[in-house]
Amino acid sequence: MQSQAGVGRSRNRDSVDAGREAAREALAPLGGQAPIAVLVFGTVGHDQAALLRGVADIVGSAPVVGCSAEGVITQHGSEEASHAVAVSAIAADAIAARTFFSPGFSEDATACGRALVDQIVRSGLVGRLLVLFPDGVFGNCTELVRSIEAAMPYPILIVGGTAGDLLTFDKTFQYHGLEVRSGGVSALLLGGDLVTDLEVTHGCDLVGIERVVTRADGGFVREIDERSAWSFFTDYLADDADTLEALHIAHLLLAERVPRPTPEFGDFTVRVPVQLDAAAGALYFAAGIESGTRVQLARRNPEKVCERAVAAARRLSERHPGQRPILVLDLDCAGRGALLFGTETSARLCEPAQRAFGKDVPWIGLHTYGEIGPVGGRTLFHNYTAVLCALYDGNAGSA
Amino acid sequence: MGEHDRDAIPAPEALLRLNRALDEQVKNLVKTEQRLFVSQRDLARQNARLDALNRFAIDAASVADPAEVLARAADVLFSIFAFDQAAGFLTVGELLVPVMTRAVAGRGRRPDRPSGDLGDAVWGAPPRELALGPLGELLERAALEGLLTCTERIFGSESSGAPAALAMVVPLQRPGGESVGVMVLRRLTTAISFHEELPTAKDEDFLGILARLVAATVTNARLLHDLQVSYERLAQAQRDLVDRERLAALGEFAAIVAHEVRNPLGVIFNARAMLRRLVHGEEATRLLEIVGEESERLDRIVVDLIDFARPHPPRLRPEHLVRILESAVEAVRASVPSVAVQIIAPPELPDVWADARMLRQAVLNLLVNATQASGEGVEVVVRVTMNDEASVRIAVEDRGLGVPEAIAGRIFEPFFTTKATGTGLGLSVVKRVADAHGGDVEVSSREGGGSIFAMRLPLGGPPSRADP
Repeated sequence: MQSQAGVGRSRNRDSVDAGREAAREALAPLGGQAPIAVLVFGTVGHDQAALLRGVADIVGSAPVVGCSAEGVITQHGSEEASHAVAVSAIAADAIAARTFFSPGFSEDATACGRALVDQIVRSGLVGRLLVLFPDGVFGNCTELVRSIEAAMPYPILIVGGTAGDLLTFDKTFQYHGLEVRSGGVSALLLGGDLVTDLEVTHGCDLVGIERVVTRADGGFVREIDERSAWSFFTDYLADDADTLEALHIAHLLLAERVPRPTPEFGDFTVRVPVQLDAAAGALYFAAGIESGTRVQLARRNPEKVCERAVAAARRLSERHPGQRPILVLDLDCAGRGALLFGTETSARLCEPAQRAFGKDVPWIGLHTYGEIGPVGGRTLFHNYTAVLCALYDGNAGSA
Repeated sequence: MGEHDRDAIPAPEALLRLNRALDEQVKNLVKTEQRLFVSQRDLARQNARLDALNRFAIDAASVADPAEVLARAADVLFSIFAFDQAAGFLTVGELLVPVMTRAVAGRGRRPDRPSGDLGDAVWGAPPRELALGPLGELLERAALEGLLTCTERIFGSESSGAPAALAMVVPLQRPGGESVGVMVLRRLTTAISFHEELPTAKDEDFLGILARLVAATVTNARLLHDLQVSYERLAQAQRDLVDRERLAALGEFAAIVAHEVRNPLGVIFNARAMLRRLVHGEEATRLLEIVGEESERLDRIVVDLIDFARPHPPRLRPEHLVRILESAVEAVRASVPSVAVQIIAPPELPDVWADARMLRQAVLNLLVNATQASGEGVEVVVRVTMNDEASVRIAVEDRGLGVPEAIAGRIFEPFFTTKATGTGLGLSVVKRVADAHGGDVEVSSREGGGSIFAMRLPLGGPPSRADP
């Protein structure tokens, strides 16, 4: 039977009903075929456990994986609301799926990554795509990816997005089955007759000269050019700015050179703090920036964000002429939503990119606190970035 | 600084100075953009509020139901602020009466629940000040406790009922301070997205304006409702006036006819009496009998016309109803001795305030119709029942062919008849008598065939008699 996927969403504020509604819509195109995996992204206004119970009411024993999100993205556009959920059900005879949860990411990302690989190896499935949903508030994503790549017995495409919580940066959730966890990583492994392709883009401009992180530990950047990291930013912020929200509104971020630049992506990736220790003037980056790292101030450029995202979607679609993706997975930064575009995220960013594939293509995504995707053959952690990953049926041929 | 001096500055230092200058510009640019972002966001929010006020003013202007006005106000607040549910109360004397609940999708099983089943009213002075905060804190304020407890009870009865995390109380006051009601908004969770809003201190002005607008619209809705009722009453009065004028014209015409016929009829009666003495012979006697019968029939018609033409106000006094009925039956038997009529009445029937002569005439008319419809020897039933403690029902049940549905609406009109020899006044007299007593008359089909003509009469007479 042909591989296929359906996507549903709901804005119902009753969590069980919302889960049911979205899951029901996701299952509808499958024509009764049982899903091999179900992706769920929900915002934290919802009772997370109730949300998953609602999904399970409809999808039964199908494996569920996903995370809390700052917002969800479907063909209905970007929905950053306290109560929003998106569900995708994937059904295929020739594709296999496994879901995992690895705890302890916030405490020891390397050990967490290794433990995840152990589970993957024990599952017996040789995967082609690994999708990660790590905790979005605390945890070193760079170490996580590094440890997974080092431990995996075979090369694999790794993408992912960290969980969100409506920009409160307090507590995020990872879904695995009916379980709602925090501080860990939930993951989806897909293998079999599957072809994957992806594009990674951001839309930021460098500002000023390179700086050096002169003191950093445990994910916290404490000093840049021997100054408090926070004061480095506050020079650019309006008076009385004492929260990260001011930083987000100012569209400020750090840029770090990538090891293997590409013409499409450029030569730097983006780093954004998710925690502020105001007393110490330190900033926590999920990228795990280390002392000695050369960084540069950068700013988001809304026009460039849209232009590059649409160009990436077109390139991705044009590399597979005549083929319809089973599913497009859109891992898009929370900073590329309402923060940047107000109420126009859908019109300016989502819809133009989706037009490259067509309105009927199943499309699920979330606004994340950080994105994982390869650049120049190296899997990296990013911020303010979009990872667009298209899944094609391997039996249908591929580019 | 001269040309020579500038050339003397080392290139790296010049670049650093240039970079610092650029950096300063970037700082200023970023700060300006931040302020612009905040200004634009504030402006967009102000626009949304103005737009909401405008929409509400237009949408609710023609609403005549105060509860519906509150529901639309709730929708306006939902469109701006991240509340889940709303309850609306109207001030009635010393009470706040719950009349409306509203909820966004997924936050209420019955978001448009009608008024009337929302539970008990809240007694006490309505709150005068806007209040917003965690429910627990607001419940500690004595002025809000009853109102918020009532609201929690209303939503707690929902199958998805959950205590509110946050609540907002919006007093609805007219410019003079008169309380029209209160709205209570609830939010069930504290989680809120970046571009969802809860009211802040900056919103007090907006909420005050909205509250005054809602209060004025509720007042307008009440006036509009009263106006609609007045229009309906006026239209009914106009219809009644037209009917009365038509009946008066008919009555005048009937009086003229009766007068013009009755005098010649008297001459005919006298002439017939003289002829009976002068003329003998079987054939002549038979012809005189025919003249006599037809003259009497004509006389009855004239009597009916006079009764119809000269109605008089009922002279009400307590009457024993069964005696009136028996009198009417006797009158029928006088002209049709074989008629079979059974009166069924409860033994403890109280006296009825009635004009006995008018009521007897009405029952007589019904009995004449019933005996004619049922046929000779078939029993007609007069059944008296108490509708309730305030009225009595007199039903005359026949075994005739029944009243076709097509004409049922017209049979009480004057001069409407299906009989070849009828005047069409009998049932209109019945209706007039029922109306004069503050009652009514209706016709229905009788199970097993036939008709039931039922008069309902208030025991105490028409309201005008009972009213002080």
